[in-house]
Amino acid sequence: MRRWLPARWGLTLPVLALLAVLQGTLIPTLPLPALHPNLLLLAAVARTLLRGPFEGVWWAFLGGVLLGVLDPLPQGIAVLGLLLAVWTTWLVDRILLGQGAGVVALAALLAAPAFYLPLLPYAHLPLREATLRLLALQALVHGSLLPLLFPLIRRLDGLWGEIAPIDWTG
Amino acid sequence: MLRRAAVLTLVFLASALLTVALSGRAPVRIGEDGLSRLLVPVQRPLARGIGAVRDRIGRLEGYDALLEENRQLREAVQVLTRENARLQALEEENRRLRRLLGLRAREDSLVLVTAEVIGRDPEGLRQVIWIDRGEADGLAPGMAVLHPDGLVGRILSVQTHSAQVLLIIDVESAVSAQVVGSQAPGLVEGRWQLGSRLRMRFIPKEVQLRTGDLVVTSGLVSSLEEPRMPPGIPIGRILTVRGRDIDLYQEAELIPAADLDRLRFVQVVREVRP
Repeated sequence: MRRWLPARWGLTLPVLALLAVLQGTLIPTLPLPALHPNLLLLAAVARTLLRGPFEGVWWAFLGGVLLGVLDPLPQGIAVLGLLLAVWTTWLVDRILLGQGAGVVALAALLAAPAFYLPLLPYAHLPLREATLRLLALQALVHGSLLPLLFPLIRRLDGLWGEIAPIDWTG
Repeated sequence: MLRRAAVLTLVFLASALLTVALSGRAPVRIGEDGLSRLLVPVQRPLARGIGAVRDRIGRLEGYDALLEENRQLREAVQVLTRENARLQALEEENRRLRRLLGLRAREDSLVLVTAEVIGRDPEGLRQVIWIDRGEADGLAPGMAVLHPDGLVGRILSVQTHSAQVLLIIDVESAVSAQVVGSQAPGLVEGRWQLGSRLRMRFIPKEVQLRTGDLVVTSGLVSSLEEPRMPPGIPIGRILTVRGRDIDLYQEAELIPAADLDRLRFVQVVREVRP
């Protein structure tokens, strides 16, 4: 029988809930607000790279719902953003498969603006120079942070089951 | 696997779009309320811990600054004690004069609910905070939120045990205001998403404004359904003034009176009793 829920879904929700709470409490207190990473975005991108788009889509949906509870935007917008980020990641992965850790950086670099784009109109952020600068900064932050965190995420992912069968060593 | 992911995406996409369309309606609100009830008990101790750590770091970093601040506060207390005595005398005189003129006494008293800040907008795109009081504590959208230093914002939405507060610097915020001294009226709007913090607009052109002038709430609201905004709450101080010959009004950039980046406790005005 085909399973539509990942086998590890029991752990998925507590992990995402913890990340969402940290995103709403710890991250906003860090200095340099323009450089704050989005933990749920990083998690969804990493999940897609490790386990493919099916699990990535699940993480995007659950993570997006949790973000939607904590943010002032209409519920569902964060889900849209994270789904876009997951498919951007998949596209980068498909094009550059086997190209090493650069895939991780490029996927996160492109997934960040993909995530933020649908959110901008609801946050009353006009698409002008300051907003584009914010998107570029977010792309750089996520693009440089995920390659650093990825080995740890992969190890943690291995604790849930078998290590993801993807060779990132290039 | 890819086909299943695509189908799942379509299902989630459709449900996300449906939720966006139904945003604010009962089914979505109930769902959000249920989830926030699960998250708030985790958020509260975490926010408290983070606040305590920040305070400790701040204390270690700024011991000398604290000593200096302490000295300044002692001086300020002396000045304010004298001022308070003078104001009490004026208030008594005002009460007597109003009685003589047959005017109703005007002494607004505020019913306040103290709340702890337990979070901020996770995406960092809006200027919104979460507080640990909600509908169960009598809070409702539109209520004013204060800090001892000045106005913080208004309640944006409420859950059973938590609420979102729209800070005055968010572009969606607009507060009717007046400049202390000149009594010049105007509208203070948030400008955070547009690159600054606060801007006061529609100030009559003939009024002379100076840097450092205090701007307070005027107490006016846009509709009778809107909860009352107490008058005289500091909003900010004038930083720069802008007005051209051809303009009908002048504008001023303000610095918020309250430090909106470091809020830990706030007070919600549940009722303004005349």
